[in-house]
Amino acid sequence: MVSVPVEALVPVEGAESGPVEVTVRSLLAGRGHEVRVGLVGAAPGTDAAGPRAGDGADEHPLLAWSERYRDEPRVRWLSEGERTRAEPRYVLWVRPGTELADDAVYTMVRVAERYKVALVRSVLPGEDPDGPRLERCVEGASGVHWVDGALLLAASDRPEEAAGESAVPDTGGEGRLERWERESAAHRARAMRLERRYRWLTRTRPGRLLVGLLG
Amino acid sequence: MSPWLCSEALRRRSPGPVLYCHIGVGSGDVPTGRALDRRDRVIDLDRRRVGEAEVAPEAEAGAERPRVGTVVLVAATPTDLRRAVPAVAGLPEAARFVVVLVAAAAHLGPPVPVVPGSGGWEGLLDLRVRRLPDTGWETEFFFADPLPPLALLQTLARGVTGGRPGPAVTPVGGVRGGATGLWRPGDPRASGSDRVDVLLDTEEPPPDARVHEDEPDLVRERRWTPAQTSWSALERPVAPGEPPRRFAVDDVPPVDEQTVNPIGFARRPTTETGRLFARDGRWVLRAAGRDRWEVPEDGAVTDTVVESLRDLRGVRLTWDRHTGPLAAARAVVGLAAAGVPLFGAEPPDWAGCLGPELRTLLTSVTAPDLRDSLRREEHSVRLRRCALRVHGTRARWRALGTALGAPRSPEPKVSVLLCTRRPEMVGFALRQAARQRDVDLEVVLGLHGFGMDLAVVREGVAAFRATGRHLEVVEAAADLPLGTVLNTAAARASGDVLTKMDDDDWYAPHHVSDLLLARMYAGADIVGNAVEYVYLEALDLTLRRDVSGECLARRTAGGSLTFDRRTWEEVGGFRPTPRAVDTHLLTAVRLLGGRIYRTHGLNYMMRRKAGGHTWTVGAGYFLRLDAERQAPGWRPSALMEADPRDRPSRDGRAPTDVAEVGW
Repeated sequence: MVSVPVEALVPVEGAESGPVEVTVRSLLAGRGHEVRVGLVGAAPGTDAAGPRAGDGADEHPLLAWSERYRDEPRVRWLSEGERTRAEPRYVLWVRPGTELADDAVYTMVRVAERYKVALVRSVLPGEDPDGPRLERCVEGASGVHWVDGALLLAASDRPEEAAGESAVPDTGGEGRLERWERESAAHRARAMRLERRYRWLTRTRPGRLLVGLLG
Repeated sequence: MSPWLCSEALRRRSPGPVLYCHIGVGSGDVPTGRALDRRDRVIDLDRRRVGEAEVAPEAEAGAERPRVGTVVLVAATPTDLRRAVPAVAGLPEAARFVVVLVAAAAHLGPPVPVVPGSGGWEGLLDLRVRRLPDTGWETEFFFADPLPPLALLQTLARGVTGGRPGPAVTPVGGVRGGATGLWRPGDPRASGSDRVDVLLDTEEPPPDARVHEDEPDLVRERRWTPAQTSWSALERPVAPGEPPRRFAVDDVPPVDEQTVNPIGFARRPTTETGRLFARDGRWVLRAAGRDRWEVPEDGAVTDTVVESLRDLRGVRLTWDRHTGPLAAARAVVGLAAAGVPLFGAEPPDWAGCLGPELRTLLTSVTAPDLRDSLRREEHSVRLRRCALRVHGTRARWRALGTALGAPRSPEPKVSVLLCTRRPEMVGFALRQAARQRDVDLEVVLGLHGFGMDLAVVREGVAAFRATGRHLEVVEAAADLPLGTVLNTAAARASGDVLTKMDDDDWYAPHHVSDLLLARMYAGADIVGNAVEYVYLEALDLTLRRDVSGECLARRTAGGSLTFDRRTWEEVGGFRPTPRAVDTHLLTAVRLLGGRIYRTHGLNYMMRRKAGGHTWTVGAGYFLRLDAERQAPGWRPSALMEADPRDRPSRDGRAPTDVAEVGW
């Protein structure tokens, strides 16, 4: 699949640095597509972020952490409605604390393109879907496809029963059952061909003659 | 039938003559040359008339019974084998039997006999079952002492279909003439080997008939075979004793539902629509540029025919003339009972014997409609339901019994086991039970952790009782495991059949009646639905899972398990565990050698609420299981006939409106 621009939005308002770092790190470590991360909320050190550091109040919880990404061009602070790039092909909204698998973004883009939907939604284990309920807006237009969020999580966070599963069937358009049915039909047809050949060779005069000639 | 097969069957001759019987299309290639000698006899069971003496064999009691060395029976298919059972009555005994099935549908078992419980097989010396080239079977028996063919074939016919024999065909009927197997396939009593309540004459009784002269009250009824009702015969002026020119539903020979049924229905057709039309006065089914089936003169549909047509998207009926109206109707109802999606123009007058509902169904869809796989399956379910309920053997004899006032067994009574921990779901769940049609039903309501003192429960119970159906309430303490509550409910149930319903799932009006049909034709110990539709309430999303239906299976929907009370007793009831009671029950049945059958999934919709389930898996589980086909909102199949009151609501908000969705 060709690499496509993806913008990952992480709402950081009121979040601790630990969960945000986990999410951003997993996004940046992802493979397959060009991902930029937008931290949505007031950046530390701005007026909108509340009292400045050093003025006697508590420091912004992300202040120290954000220093680490000062020189990372793929991470930016965004205010509501702002974008990291002019026209991202896909926008991914992800909650802080979610550690995504390295192929999570790749998988979601694949799902979107395979099912030709405008929105791919995931539901995380044991939780109601959170985040903006965009599916209520797009259902009538170009569709939504839901995936099990467990399949997008890093291996360490993935429930045991979801290990080894994929959010996208691996058969490129058809279910496994259909593939197996096709294969079994082909085997059956081959068996019948061989049986017919066997009968011709053993129960007909020309067949027996041929077997005799060939030894 | 290959002459080679016959020769093989005859190669190992026993002393004494051979009685060579054959039945069904393709079984009539009788071996020639030295295979049979002048002492041997060949009998075409399709033409054999079960004579007067055979209808009342007690008249021959004490006479020396005739014997032959070997009886060879060649049946074209298991359907024909079942027809042969009553047709061999009165044939001589033998110590060696060779039964050849030329072909059999893949889902039917090998012809391994079910040893009769009453004994008689102590003299068995050798039994051999082997598969023949292609799809046929051969079973060979050696006995120390001769046995009548009827006793043996009966056990084989049961072995082929397997499973439970299902409800009896009542009233007990005998058939005189050449159509015994046509009207009572697989029934050893049909030839009159025992006292009967109704006697069908398929030929004019002889003037000196002595049949059942000791039974003056015996109800006799005249019927005609397809051969007697050819178009040429019907175009003559009516003479006394000749068939009428118009036939009723009850004139059509019934479908043998044990072999011609929806088992093996293919949801993904690989061939386009076929066409059933007449060529040289006989129907031919042609699809994809080749002839697929030449309809026999008598219109018989067999298991192998049905299996060979499963790949068709549908079959268009042209209503050309087949050999006769009864033969044509027989072919149509056979295909319909098997769920082959039939459609066509308005049926002609002569097809009135199909019945009004089936006639309407045949014109209710067009070829473009069948391109939609869901629409195709819905049409198939309606057709098979109608055909089995109107033209099945049990239905036909029940209708005859009703018309003639003959005694018949009652319809099975079904007890719904409905246990809930959620008082707010009682009303909804009871509405699902109350909307069930065409079934004698009661509900045993298990209130798990609460009682009738709650107003919402009282209202739900009162609304159900207002329908006139019986409801039994079982109150159970909250700390009792679910399995124990279900066992208590089952013990209080008065029905012959128990069916489990969940408190939050949706059930179509024919849910229970379709399961009863499946129980009848599949011979299964447990029947249930495929979990095809899942509504995830938290996501307001419907999943349509890719689950095969109309097949034997290891699992079926827990909220639809249906079984005889006897099965429940045999497995020791539900395990007294708080969860996974369905899995335990299915496992127990399987370990006992029982049969689990999964019907289609269009009558059932599972609901996954955010909480309150004993089975604590989230929405993600279902998405992971099968998320291929999903649609926003609540979208059951058309068979659900959704009641607006039962549509789900989430956060006080109505779900996305139900609309046509291309699955």
